[in-house]
Amino acid sequence: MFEQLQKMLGLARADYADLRYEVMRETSINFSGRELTGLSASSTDGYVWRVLKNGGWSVVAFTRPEDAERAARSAVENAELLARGGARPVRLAPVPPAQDEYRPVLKEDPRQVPTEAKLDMVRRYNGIALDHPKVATTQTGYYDITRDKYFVSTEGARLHEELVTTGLGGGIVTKEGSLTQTVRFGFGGSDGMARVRGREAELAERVKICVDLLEAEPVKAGEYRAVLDQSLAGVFTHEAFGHFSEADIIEDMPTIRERMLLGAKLGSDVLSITDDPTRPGQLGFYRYDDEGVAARPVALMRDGVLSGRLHSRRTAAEFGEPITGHCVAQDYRFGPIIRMGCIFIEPCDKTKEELLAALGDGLYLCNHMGGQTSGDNFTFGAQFGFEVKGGKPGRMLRDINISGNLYATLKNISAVGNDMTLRETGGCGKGQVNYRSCNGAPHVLVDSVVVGGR
Amino acid sequence: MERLLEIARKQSDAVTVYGASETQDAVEFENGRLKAVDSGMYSGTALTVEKDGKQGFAYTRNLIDREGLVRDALAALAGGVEAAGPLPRPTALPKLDTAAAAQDGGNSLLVDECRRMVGYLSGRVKGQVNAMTARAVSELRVLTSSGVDAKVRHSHFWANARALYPGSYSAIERMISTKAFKPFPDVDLQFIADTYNASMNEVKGVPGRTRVLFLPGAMYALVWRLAAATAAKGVYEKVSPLVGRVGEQILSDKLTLVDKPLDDSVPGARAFDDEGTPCRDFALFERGTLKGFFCDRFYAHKTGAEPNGHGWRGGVTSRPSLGLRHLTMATGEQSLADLLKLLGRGVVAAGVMGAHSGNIIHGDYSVGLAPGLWVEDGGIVGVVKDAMVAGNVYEDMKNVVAVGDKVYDAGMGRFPALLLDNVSFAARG
Repeated sequence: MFEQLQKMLGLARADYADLRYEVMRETSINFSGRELTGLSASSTDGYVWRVLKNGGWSVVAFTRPEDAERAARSAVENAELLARGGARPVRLAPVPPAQDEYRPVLKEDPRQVPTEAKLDMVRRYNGIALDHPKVATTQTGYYDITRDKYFVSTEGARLHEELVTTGLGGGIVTKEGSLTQTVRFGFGGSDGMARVRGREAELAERVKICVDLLEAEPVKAGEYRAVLDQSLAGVFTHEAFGHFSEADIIEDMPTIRERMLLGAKLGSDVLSITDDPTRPGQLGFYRYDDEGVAARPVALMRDGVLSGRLHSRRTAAEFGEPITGHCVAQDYRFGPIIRMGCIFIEPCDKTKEELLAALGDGLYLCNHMGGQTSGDNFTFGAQFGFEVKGGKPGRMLRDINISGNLYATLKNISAVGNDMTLRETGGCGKGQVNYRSCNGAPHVLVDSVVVGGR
Repeated sequence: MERLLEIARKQSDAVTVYGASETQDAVEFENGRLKAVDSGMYSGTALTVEKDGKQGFAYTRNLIDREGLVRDALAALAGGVEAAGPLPRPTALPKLDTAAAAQDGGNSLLVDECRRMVGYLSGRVKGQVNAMTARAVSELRVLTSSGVDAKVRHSHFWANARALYPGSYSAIERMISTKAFKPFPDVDLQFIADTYNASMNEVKGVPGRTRVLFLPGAMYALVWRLAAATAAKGVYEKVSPLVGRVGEQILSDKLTLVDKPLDDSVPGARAFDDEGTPCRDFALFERGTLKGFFCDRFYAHKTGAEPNGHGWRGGVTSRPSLGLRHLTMATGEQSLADLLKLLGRGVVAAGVMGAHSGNIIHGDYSVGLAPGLWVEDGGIVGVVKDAMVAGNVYEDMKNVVAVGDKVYDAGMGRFPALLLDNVSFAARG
């Protein structure tokens, strides 16, 4: 493979070029209720050029090897147009050209498991939910995806890395009269199929929550103090803070960039945040990013002070900051962009019970239902929650979405728990989907969030 | 594709071959400056075989090993996925004008137009200005063993301009979508400038029940709920609150929501869906009355209905699934200025966050405003932050005060602005 890629690399008449080729193999199984609605095992592939010419930088993806020359020409023309058109000249932070091959160590390689065995497993999980009389339907899906990546560059980089991701998850819908409720579940990771086995008890617990929600009351709109569980706090960390740590998001937004200065005190004293794609066993693990840079842990915030940022080679040069290895593509259809690998709030010393006691009266909000940010403001859904009185969780609440301001919320996190967990399924949609995006946190106490409600 | 069809036909009862290719170019300006010029060239082929009441699916980017692709699809039969109903029969399809002639200028044309848009806005607003232009040419063919051989070629041009609030990527924006390159209308650029300038100050809204004007860019939060409940899947699974209510008045009689795939005045018109089923105009709600449920072959088969041309793929890597690609809402008679006067005091949802969250099929929504504009005496007085609107579409879309007189391209379709009464509004006090 490398020989063919090296030959193609010669087609780019540029100051710098790299070429990534990927074969993507995917097995997917989907149930909708008791109906098996999809089962496929397919393989596909494609290429991505990146070229630097006269300070212009362009990306062209293509799928047919016979288009390599046309695509290279198009990339060079785009780069020249950028250089002529007044784009800021691009420089790449220097890195030693890596030459390496990496295959993950897996606890049960999904590629060695027959599709029929996977189907039996998914059907069994799906049945756990459907056997409850109040479950109206389910959406249960399984996937395993292998990205087999080759990377070469005109600087001499030559890398081959395999990423294998396994996931099982979906949604449970319960119904009582005209009321329906939904709860999600998801298991998986980057270290083998063993991750999705033996999780029946956890799924049964999710079913119980979804049934209990039929008796829950809608939350009342207002401003509250709240304890967020690990899932919600992890999504906050990713959506509200993490994206502003991605240099490509803020590089051309001066009003945000001037606030996100390294050394600025943005959070409370108890708040420390790290991104570490190299942390073993978690969903977002990789060794090299998609521009051939070795990944490393980055301390993004320490004791409330902004201390690091996630970079590509281009933005590291632009900001004059250290390269981090966070430039990642969804697959062969995309050029890489800066992504979080595994972002989390560092745990402190409080138990959940101590946080609830410190809350006194307020809300205990659990399990994210997706989040979105507009920069300084964010909105997240919680799958369920509890009214807390005197530090004790009481009646269950539903229909919960929270909103807040990033900077205010970072300062309003007044206590951090000791019970960090990391998310097992991803799905960040910053232009491309990153299904390996991992985040996590311990429980945290927030002194003010706005809750929407009827 | 014909050879693939022949190979697969010999080993199965029914075959669908789907082939697609696309070239695309995109230009981005950020903070008034050229940022990116990128391109892509994609192609691929998907194969669905049906045999003994089961179906198998496989795809490839490069159609080199046809026998291998057929083997993969046949192997997938073992999974036992139930086949959909009968394949569509060949029929005369309306001829649609879907592609404009190729235009000169290369990507310089896209760069120059972005530069013009940015130049217009930068002279009129104090905030950051971003712009993008993009174009794509795609070809698509559906071939079935029942004799359908349907093809379409599309051309598409998009442009988006936005003025961003300080410290945020919340913005006042407009998007256009046409079949060929077209200068972004000055009237839309001026809308962005005027609306942005009127809302630069941060103000406090008044929490409680109020009138809310959903601009076209925020309408998808409401329409998403209606689309989920009018999909035949929700009927089959008996989870849609609209099951058994065709012919019933569900929404305000001011609301008509129609899927219009044959409208070739806009890009993306289709005479057939991705399964080869002929498309037709399909009303979901007419003057607020539920008219029917949209379905693909699979859910038509499961519910005993006829497929009505709503089987769409995300690309060659996905099987067809239920979807609405050509939604539009009928316009009313009120201009934006009229709507603001009718609003009087309340909030404008110019954009929303978190629409994917909540009990969608039940109609519940609870979304952050990004941005939300506060209105007093029919005029925009500022932007509200940390603010949310929440409700249920089956309650709130009965309380329609007025509908805007023009549709705009937005997420999920083409919609006018919509003024609702008595919506819950929450904001930091």
